[in-house]
Amino acid sequence: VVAGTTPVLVHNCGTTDFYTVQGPEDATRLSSGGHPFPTSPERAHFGSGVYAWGNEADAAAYAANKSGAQIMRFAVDNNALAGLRQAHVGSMTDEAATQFMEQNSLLWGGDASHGLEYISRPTARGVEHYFSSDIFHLLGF
Amino acid sequence: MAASSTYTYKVLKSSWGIRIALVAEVVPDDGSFLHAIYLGHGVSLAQSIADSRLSAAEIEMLSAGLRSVAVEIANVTAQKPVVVVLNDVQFVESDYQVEGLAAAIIGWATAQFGLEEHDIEVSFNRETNRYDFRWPGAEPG
Repeated sequence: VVAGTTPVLVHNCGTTDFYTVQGPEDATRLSSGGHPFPTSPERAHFGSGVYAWGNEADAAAYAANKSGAQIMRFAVDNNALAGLRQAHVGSMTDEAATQFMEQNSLLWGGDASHGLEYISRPTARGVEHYFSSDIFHLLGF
Repeated sequence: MAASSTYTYKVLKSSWGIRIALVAEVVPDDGSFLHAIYLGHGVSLAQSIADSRLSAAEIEMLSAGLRSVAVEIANVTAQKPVVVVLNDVQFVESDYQVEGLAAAIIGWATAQFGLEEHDIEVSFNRETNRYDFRWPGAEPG
């Protein structure tokens, strides 16, 4: 249902699945609370948290050339998902998306101090979904 | 001859970009690099990366980029045969497109040999979710 240009989510029951690709040590870490979360720009460009794909096919393609990698599925309650502080870079213009990345991604000169709990962005190989470590308890592994 | 040096190629025009850090050095060609790829004009490309993750297509793109500036390199080296030795190539898969390797090695060679700057035009095509490159002069290949 759309009111003007603002989407209105009427029915939020159920969950949404996400798929993260992890090596053995990180898989163990995520299975036992998540800490310590990686912080390097290459592994945590929006900040500490969990980076995932929105479908299993993208995760499988990403895992294909990584020895020992495994795909971990987790579910997020749709009501909880809707309530997160979030941004969706794919819905922005190219100019706005570039500016967002430059401000908020450690890979692109940003400082990751956005305060957001959930960010999705199209990448070269699928849509990446970032969940802040602050809401790790909402990720149902 | 100069020591190993790093060049980082970066372009960002949407929600993802291309970011490639390339470490290489140039050495006299004394025939010791048996697997070097000869690119013409006395310029060859070799890898010192023991566990290279680079595919054949990626090696070909690096070769194409270096080949496109081989004449200029020969002018600087007074036609003395040289080998460009790749020591490391780093990129994040979500922010990567193979054509960036050609741009990266052209950028590296430009800095390393003091060549005239190459104006590589890059635009983002949202429909194909790819960057389109317009090479100065002939397309690398």
